[in-house]
Amino acid sequence: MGFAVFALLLSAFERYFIGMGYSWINDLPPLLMPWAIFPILGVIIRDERHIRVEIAPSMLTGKPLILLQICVYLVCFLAAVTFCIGSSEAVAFFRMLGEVTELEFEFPKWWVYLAFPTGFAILANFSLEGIIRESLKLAGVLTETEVSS
Amino acid sequence: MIYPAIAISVFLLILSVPVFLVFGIGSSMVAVGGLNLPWATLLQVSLGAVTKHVLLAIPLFIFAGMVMLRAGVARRLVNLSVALVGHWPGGLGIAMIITMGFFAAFCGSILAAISAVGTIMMPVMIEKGYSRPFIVVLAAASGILETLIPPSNGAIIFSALTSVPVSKTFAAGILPGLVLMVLLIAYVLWRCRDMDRPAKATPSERAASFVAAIPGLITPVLILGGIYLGLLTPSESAAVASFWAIIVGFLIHRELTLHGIWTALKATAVTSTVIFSVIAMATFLSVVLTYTRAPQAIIDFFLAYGVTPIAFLFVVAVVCLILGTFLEVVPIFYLTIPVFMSVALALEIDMAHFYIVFSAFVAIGLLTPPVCVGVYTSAAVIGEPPERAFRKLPGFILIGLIYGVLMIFFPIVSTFLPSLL
Repeated sequence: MGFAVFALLLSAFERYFIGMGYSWINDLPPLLMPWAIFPILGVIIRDERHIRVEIAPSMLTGKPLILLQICVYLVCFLAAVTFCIGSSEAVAFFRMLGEVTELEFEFPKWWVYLAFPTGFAILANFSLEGIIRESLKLAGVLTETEVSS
Repeated sequence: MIYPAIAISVFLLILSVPVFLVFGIGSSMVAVGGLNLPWATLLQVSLGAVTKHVLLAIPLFIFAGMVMLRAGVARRLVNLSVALVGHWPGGLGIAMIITMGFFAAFCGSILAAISAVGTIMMPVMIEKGYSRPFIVVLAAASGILETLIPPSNGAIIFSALTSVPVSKTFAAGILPGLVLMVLLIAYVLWRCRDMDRPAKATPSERAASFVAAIPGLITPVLILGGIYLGLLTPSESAAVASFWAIIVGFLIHRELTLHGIWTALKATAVTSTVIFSVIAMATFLSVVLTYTRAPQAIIDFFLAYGVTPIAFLFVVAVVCLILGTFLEVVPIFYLTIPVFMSVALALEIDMAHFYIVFSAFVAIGLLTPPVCVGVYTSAAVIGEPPERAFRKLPGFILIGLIYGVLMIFFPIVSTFLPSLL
């Protein structure tokens, strides 16, 4: 984020005050966005910051709610594993193509695509953690206080 | 494969699976399982969506708002608004609406605006005898201004989806934002007509609060001035706003700390990921729509029945109201705009007009239960149970509907400023 602020300021500055421009200053921050987003997918799942329809959770309490959470984490885990495998195949394909970025300094484009399987792998990890945590809660091993700590 | 995918997606939504995964699961079932498309196609489209230069403005505006929040800007804007209108009937409520309008102009995040202004104003309003449910709903309703007054995330996403220049979508939101602000103020004046009025601020108090608020007031001028004078792209103006927020916090107000910057960065990363995860996965849906030619079928349907532009906008309004009841703003944009936009273009509806009508009715969804993040956020600020606030909702929802219908019948409000560009 800091790099994006710095690079875009520099981009505007060099255009108006120096009169010369390096396209990579302008083009690199968007290319870094996948690496700023996908690795945090797991964190927003763990912290329950994601956007969801809260009809079912608002109607349930106690054990049914915990069971629902386990189901949700299970869906997240299965989806994350599927997307991880699928996007890994895609990254392998892009690597085979050997495509590079169109910036002044070239680097393989698959480095950018690699953010997808990395993010989904982290998401699968956090989802698995959620399944285990909620299962232990259901079994009565963990109390709410221990879970939140 | 399409119908099972839709059924599974709806089931997963009801189950409360994260929306970005529901988009991904349903769309990839059709794309990979039904249309036999390679994963590489989906990733390529998704990467193209999240690396759009214009979308970079979203995290930067959110960061600017988060820094401003920690730099004491919101408090100074509140002081100015109270000094200007605090002596009116319902003066504090009106001050909240005006401050929210100002804060929206450099924040880019509805929830940050509600938290920033609400944290300062709501306790004072409770002390002055305003009812807690009324305050909660007023803060949430005022937050709707963020979807209109530039720079709004909705405008940036709409531009990314439709290729309409951001400068035009920003301009389209200004007059409708003012109209909504006037409607909300009129409603508060009427609701609070019998309340005690505090003493009027003296000219010196007003002048002092104005001087203190100048750094905050300059921010929208920097952002919009840079864009409309052709000096900055939207992303660059967002970077300038972020840099200005840091200057204000460190050098002018001297309330910002390094820890404040760090927490602002963390909050920005999480908020941006929430938005971009939906963008990344919702583009899978656009691949499905393209390959199944669904938008074309819907256009043919509307044209075959001779639907007029006004009737179509009412259809958009009803769909947005229904979806807004269950979903938040960003998923609705990605779910419906690709389809609606094609029909709107076929019916020759001005894109600025379409955007304002669309965002008006989507924004009402921020107030309608069960998914009303605006109400939940403002209720959390003062620890009020959201259910108690729901009984104050009908009046504000009615104002929203009146505003939406006005926007449908008076396109000039949304198209006038963009036509000057």
